[in-house]
Amino acid sequence: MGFKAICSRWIHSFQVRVFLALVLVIFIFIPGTGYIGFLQAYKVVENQMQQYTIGTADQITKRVGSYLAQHSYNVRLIKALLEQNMVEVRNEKNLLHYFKLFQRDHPEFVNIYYGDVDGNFFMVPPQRPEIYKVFDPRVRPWFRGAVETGDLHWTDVYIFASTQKPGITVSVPIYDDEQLLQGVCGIDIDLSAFSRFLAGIEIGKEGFAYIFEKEEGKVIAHPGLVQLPWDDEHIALLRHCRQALEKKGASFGLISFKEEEFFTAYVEYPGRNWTVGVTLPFSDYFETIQFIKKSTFTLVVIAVLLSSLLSYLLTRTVIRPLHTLQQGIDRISSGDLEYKVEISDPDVASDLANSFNGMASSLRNSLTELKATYEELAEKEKLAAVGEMTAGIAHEIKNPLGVILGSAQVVLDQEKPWQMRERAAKFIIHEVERLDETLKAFLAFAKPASPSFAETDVIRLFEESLSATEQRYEEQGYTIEREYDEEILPIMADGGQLRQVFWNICLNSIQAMPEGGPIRLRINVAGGSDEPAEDSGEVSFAHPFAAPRQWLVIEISDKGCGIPQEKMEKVMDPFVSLRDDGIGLGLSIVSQIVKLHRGRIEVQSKEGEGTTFKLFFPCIPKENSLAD
Amino acid sequence: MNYAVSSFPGGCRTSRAGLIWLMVLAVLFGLTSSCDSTRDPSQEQAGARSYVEIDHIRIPLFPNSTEQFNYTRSWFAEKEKKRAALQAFIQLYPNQREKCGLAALDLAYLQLGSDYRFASPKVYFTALTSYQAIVAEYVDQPSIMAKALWYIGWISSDLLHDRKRGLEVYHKIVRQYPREPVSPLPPAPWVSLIYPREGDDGTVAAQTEGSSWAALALVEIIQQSEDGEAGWQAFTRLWQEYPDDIATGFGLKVVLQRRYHVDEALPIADQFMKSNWSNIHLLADIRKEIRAITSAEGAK
Repeated sequence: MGFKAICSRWIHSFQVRVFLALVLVIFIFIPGTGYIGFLQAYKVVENQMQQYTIGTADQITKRVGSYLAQHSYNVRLIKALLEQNMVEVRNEKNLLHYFKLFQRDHPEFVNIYYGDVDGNFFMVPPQRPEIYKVFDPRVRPWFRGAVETGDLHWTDVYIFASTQKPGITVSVPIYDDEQLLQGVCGIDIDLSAFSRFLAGIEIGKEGFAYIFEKEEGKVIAHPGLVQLPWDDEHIALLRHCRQALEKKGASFGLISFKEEEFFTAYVEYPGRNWTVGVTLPFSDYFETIQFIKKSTFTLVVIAVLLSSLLSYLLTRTVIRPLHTLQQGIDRISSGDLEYKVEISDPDVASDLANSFNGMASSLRNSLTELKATYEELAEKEKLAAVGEMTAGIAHEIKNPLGVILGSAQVVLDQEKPWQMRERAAKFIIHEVERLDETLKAFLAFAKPASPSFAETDVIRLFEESLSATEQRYEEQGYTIEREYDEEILPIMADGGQLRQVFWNICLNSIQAMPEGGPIRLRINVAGGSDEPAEDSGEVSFAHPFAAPRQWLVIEISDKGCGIPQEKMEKVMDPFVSLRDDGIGLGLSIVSQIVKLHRGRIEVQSKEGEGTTFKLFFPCIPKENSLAD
Repeated sequence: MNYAVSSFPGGCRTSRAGLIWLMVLAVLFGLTSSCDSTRDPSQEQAGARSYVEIDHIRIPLFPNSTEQFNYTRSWFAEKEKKRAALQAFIQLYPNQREKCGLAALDLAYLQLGSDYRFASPKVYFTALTSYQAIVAEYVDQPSIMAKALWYIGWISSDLLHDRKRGLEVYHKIVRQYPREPVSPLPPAPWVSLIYPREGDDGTVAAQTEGSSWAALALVEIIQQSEDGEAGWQAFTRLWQEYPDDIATGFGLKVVLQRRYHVDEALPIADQFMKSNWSNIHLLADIRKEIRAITSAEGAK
């Protein structure tokens, strides 16, 4: 069997088709579901990121508010202490002592100081002396701001004189009992200290918060300012995010920066011209997304593999009982009615097997009954045939006997001339010989030899038979036209009997064409039960219990005189001959032999055009040999 | 049609079971690999800096002297670490004389502790010794010398109350470093980060911008001198040589408060008030003193 044939057989296999259909559904459905699940998870992560970053920015705004409120609260507290003379403004030592106490409790207060209207200045920690010597608090922004507003004042970012570092100051004016300005006290927030506060807030793995001045974009606080070395990248990123979101007019976005992506959210800081920003690298959550992706992919692969495996097992489970049943059908079709299908699977398959076995059992019983009926019928037919044959024999013997009797009388009559007596003696011999042939044919019909089955190559058998005589017939004007199929299965048959069948039919064809003509011999394999259709003009002579699914068909045709329609039904009956000198047993013997081989015969004939004999022999596997 | 059954003979069961196990293992491998979201610590270490150890304190190394010096200006939770950072710079870049001098000045200032006003004389002497060492070391750096000398004068007169010693030193500054500008501290290196626009380096500049160590020394001489003549001499020099210095107004205020050479001081004060409007409060103080003097003169 060629590769193509194997492939074709696989493709047309029911099991493979069911399996492929299931796998196709699995390959479309599961990855599709997985992909949709992944997209949804991705969307959820993105939404969570938006909520998280905006929420974090809100939280940081509140914490910054609390952080700055501490400064505001304490500067107001100092104001109260000074205005109520609980701390003497003019007592430098006393004032510095209190400031030190404040700073001890609040280390985040970078500088605490008081400057009076005369230009005196007291600060904890102390200024550098070269600054202190020429320092005039009254010109500083925190002093002027507090005096101008008359209340709590927050400066913009400026450079602290004491440290040359940038920062902001909260200051408040101090008045005496007569509401005359005494001075201004203030607390500095160094931006690096402010940034330290922001850096202390954990935002994801690598996220960071920052504050910048909204209009000019000055950085108010940023973790990068905490300590050198700062990360220029962070500041550049901050500015890039700000520009990108300003361009979008949005307060949240996924911003690309140097081949990376960052979630950024901005929240306005209430009461000041500040914006609080939170930026989170996408890579922080990329791991989560990667995990979702990998998990989804892994689960999809698992699902596909397991589903494919299960599909295979399912199709196999479903198909296996069908195969077992098919085997059973094959065995029963081949005549093994004792065969029982065994299926251990529960449920429907087992029920099917039981039903099948029941059917086989019923068929067995029916067949037994049918055989008995057939045998009974055959017995009756035999008796009828005996009567018919007796009449035929009597007819066949009576005439020669009459000729023999007359010829014997002529031989015994010495008065007759010698030549006449000699011709009479020859008649006697001829008639005796004819009687002998008739009796032999009768014996062959009445008591046919049991076939000896063997694997037989029909074409070879026929070609051997023809090789001896074909040339002689060709000289007489006959031609043998052969048409053999490429793949002819061997059959189990008796070679001698088949040869007899072949020659009986061939001789009929030759006799039907006395002037010579073509005899067509065609051998092929046909599938299914090729029962002749009604009104096809065919006459079928079949073995009643033979119904294989493949037949070897031997077709012998001639273009002779044909068989009259009225004689078609009886053409296989014994002692029916279309010729005057025929005994009428040839086709009867053919029919008998074909039946013994569990085959059947079909005859097609049209008077004046020719006759075709189709002999059907079952192609039976070797293991199902009829010899059994 | 028996091929479907016979193509999977019973002999293949072992290999099928093996295949199933292989799939299960592959699945487990996939799950474990997908769950492995931990980072490789070695990767985190990849960007780590090199360090130098000073007194068992690790100080990061930077690619150049500017960045290494900037590091000394950053915020340190512990003074010891700042000290180590300064020492590290001096060790690493001994040829960067000016920066090493600035670092040495910072180190000397650290000797005074967190608040020099409440420190002990022992601390003052220690700091004084440090500044003296700087004076000995950085003779070739006038900006460092001027500052170190000024600090010696300040510690001597203000903290140790040794006015004589202080005045000697201040006079030395005036003599030797008459034009060395005051640069109290280099600006914090992250100022440029905070101000995004070029040239915008803060709306309020440092207080001492435009001053010199000599002018500051002259103001100290005016304040510390018990002899009014010496104080007046110092002021006249201040007025003549440093009329636009921020310290000059403070010197004038002291002269008026102490009534040194009133007849000569008042016309100078008038001139100062007409030409100098940088500090209106100082002008108000001077005007107040002039008023007090004129009213006292009128009373006489």
